[in-house]
Order: sequence, then structure tokens, then C-alpha cells
Amino acid sequence: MSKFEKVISNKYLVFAARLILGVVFIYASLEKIQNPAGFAQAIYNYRMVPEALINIMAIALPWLELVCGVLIIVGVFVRGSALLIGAMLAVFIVALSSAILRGLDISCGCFTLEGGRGIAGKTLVEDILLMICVAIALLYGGKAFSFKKGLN
Amino acid sequence: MTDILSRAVKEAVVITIVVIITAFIVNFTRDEGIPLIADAEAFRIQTNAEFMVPADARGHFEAGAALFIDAREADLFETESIEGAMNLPSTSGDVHTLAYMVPADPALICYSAAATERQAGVIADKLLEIGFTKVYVLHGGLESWKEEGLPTGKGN
Repeated sequence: MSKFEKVISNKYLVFAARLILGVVFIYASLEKIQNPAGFAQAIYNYRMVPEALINIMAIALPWLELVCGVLIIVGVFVRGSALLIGAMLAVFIVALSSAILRGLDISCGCFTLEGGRGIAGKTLVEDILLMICVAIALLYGGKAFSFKKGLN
Repeated sequence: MTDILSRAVKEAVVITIVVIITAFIVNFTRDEGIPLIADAEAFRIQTNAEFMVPADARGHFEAGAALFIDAREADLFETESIEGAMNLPSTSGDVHTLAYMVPADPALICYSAAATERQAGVIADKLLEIGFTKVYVLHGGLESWKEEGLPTGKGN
């Protein structure tokens, strides 16, 4: 195992990565779950999803964020959760980049709906940093601080 | 590596199936639930205010005969907005404050971004509700304003 691998597989670092992903995704899901109609509007504003799929996404995606956020923190199905979070982040990165390129002046709908912050490169950078956490959790997740295995 | 990915995919499939079923059941049992297939009209702007095309809004702007109301959030307003506009976000804007600030019944032209024109409709309806009568929504939002070559600035 190389020195770099030793560092990124450190159980505290891996747990920190899981914790960051979990907290961000749980927080991001709450308002969307409370207000699915508002989230559907936010998805519509991106003008990327066919209208027939907007509500299905608005219903399912926030719950997926919440459950993956909880699972990745408690250490159950860590790799599966990390993979799903990675897939969601990839979709967000594509949507944000596309909106920036098209000059859409809309609220990003990341944490709050109908308002909050606009779309900016900063949001994109945050998503890319979260992707690094995903890679760590996917490769080394679940070995420590797992609800399944007890705190070790 | 392949083992890791294959295990991750299996777990992801299980999570996705369970979550989607749960999400749909919850959606159908709660008051805030939405239909599976979106009614596209619901996403488009619904307002009791009249629309004003940018060419007419230009006349009002040049004559100083209207107050422009930016219904977007403060960060977007501060980045770029119609010169002299006032920020009243559709989510948190206090329309009653405006009633104290402008004694008469001026023409109020509400706008947001074209993609979120619904926000302008929300604030326009609030203004109509509290008694303003000359309330309009700028058709095409800030983008149409800029297409007309009209001035924008940084809101404050």
C-alpha cells in the first residue's frame, strides 16, 4: 500500500468524508421533501428534464438523498450509498454546468427552493469536492464507525 | 476494484428500489403530495396582473413613470438588475413596506428571470391583494429587458 493510499484510507479521514456527504445530503433533502411541488418547479426551471419525468424526480430524488445521507453516516450499505450520491452529484454537475453555459438566471435549488443562492461556479466547485469524498467512501468506506460492525 | 464496484452496484439497486417505493407511498398519503405526471401549465406563470412587453416597459422606464420590482432573491438582484429597481423577493419580500414607502398608486412592473417568471407573478399578486391597482409583470423577464438594450446595474 503506497503512502498516499495509507493516508486516504485512514479510518478517521474516511469517516469524515462519509460524515460530510451524509450531513450535506440530509440537509439538502429536507426542504425538498417538505415541498415536492417547489422542487418540481426548481427542476422545471433547468429546462433539461422532460415534463413527464419532472414530478417523478421531484418525488424520488429527495428521499434518495435523505436515505443515502443517513446510511452513509451510520455505515450501512456505505458503498451503495456512496455510488448513488456520486451518481446524483454527477447529474447535478451536468445540470449546473449546462445552466451556467446557457446563461440561465435561476436559483440552483440545491438546498432551498424558490430562491436561495443562484447558480455559480462556486456551487460547481463544491460538488466536485464532494465527489472526492464519494471516491474515498466508495473505495474505503464501511471499515470503521459502522453501525453494523460497532465503533472500532 | 471490480468487486467493490459490483458490491456497490448491488447495494445501490436495493437502496433505489426500497426508496422509490417508499417515496411514492409517502407521496400519495400526504397532503403535500403531487401527481406522478406533472401538469406543465402549473409550472408556468399564473397571475392576476397584466403582462407588459419590454417595449412598453421601456416607455415607463424612460419617463420615470413606474417602479420596477425585482422578485428574485437578493444575491441575484445584487449581481444584476434593472437600474433603479427595488428588490422584493417572492419568498420573503414584505409588500406592506412598499405601501408605506410609495404614498400614491404608481405603476409597478414586477420582473424576475425568464425561467422563473412565476416569482414575478407571486409578488405581483401580493401587490394587487394589498390594494395597488397598476401592477404588471414584465414579459420575458430580465432577459427580455436586456435584449431591448435597456440599462441594468448592480442592485443595492
